[in-house]
Amino acid sequence: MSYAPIEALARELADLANRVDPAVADAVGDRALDAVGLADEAWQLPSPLGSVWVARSRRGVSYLCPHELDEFTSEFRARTGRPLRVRAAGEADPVLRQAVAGADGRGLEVDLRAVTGFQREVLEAVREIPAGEVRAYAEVAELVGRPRAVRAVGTALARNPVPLLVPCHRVVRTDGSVGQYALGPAAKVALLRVEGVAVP
Amino acid sequence: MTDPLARRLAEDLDDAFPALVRQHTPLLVAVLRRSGAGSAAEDLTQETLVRAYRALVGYPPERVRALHVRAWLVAIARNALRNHARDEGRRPRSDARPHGRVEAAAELGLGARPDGTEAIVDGLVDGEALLAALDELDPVRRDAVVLRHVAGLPIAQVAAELGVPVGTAKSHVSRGLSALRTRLGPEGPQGGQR
Repeated sequence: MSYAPIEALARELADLANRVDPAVADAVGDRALDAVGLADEAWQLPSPLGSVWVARSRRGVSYLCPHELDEFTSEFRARTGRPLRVRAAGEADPVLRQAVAGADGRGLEVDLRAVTGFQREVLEAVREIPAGEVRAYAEVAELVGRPRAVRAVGTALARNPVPLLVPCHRVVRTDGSVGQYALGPAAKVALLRVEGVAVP
Repeated sequence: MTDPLARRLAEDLDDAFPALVRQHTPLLVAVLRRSGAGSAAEDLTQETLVRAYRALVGYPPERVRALHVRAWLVAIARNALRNHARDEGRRPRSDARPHGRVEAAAELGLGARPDGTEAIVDGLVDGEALLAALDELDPVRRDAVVLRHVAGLPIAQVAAELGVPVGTAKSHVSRGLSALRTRLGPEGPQGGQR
């Protein structure tokens, strides 16, 4: 007959919190945050990329993506820690609806809290590029005062939580080719053509 | 030493509160389950978090900055559990029931195996037997063990929470662990023969 050592017992006890089913913890946390008013609202709206989900906190538009709702919800939770409360598309604010549909969205507040430091500065600079114009990655790097950080600009844009509203599709390569896009290069070409930019 | 989360809560409550929820929810569920809440543990966790938010809204920033967040949440959870137990006591038997073997296994991430036995948690202690042994402890010792080892509170806070001197709290923890070891003993490490 052997006995469980006290140290092993203490370790197992300390580990009990890690063994709580993550789906249970997520659901309990979501309900609590929703109950205190910290859930973001979400709508499914038409955009030049087809139908997209859009989330908005009290501080601005916080996430936009063409994913299915389940994936959108879990990716949003992973980025922000917050849950979503889904609303009917008809309840969306007309300014938001028009901006997502392709109108000038610069008057709309965006909530970039999930992004910090340099990446946020890049997104704020790119926000100001008007429709019909493009900038090179190198020019954006200059704009934020880090002319050598061209690759880091690309990384920041790939993490953009609100594509279309922060128009990362308007940032292209110095040679005029379109470069990468989080939602695929074909989508980037399509968006630029809609805006009247000649794309090779 | 300031808890970085407490500092963030003091600076911008609405921005930092989701981080508190994601960081501490599993611990609160585990502590409440092991403190006799049974199937009410999830609802009581939600209630704890809502109460915590409402309290934080009213606290001055210097009070928030000084919080030991985990210990403070565990205290709120125990308070919610006491109120719940009192309300349950006034009511005829409801759906509150102790955790059964199936729930305990699910909680450990174990499914029943096709042959009807349960898998055994890696390590020296049979996880399911541990939960059962914990649930059978004398409640004062169980609470002491849960606060000290599941919640990870310093012994002074365990004592404050139990309303006893530090020496008494230490003794409850140590006797609780010994009792657990004795209960798990005959089965032995690795769960022995099943």
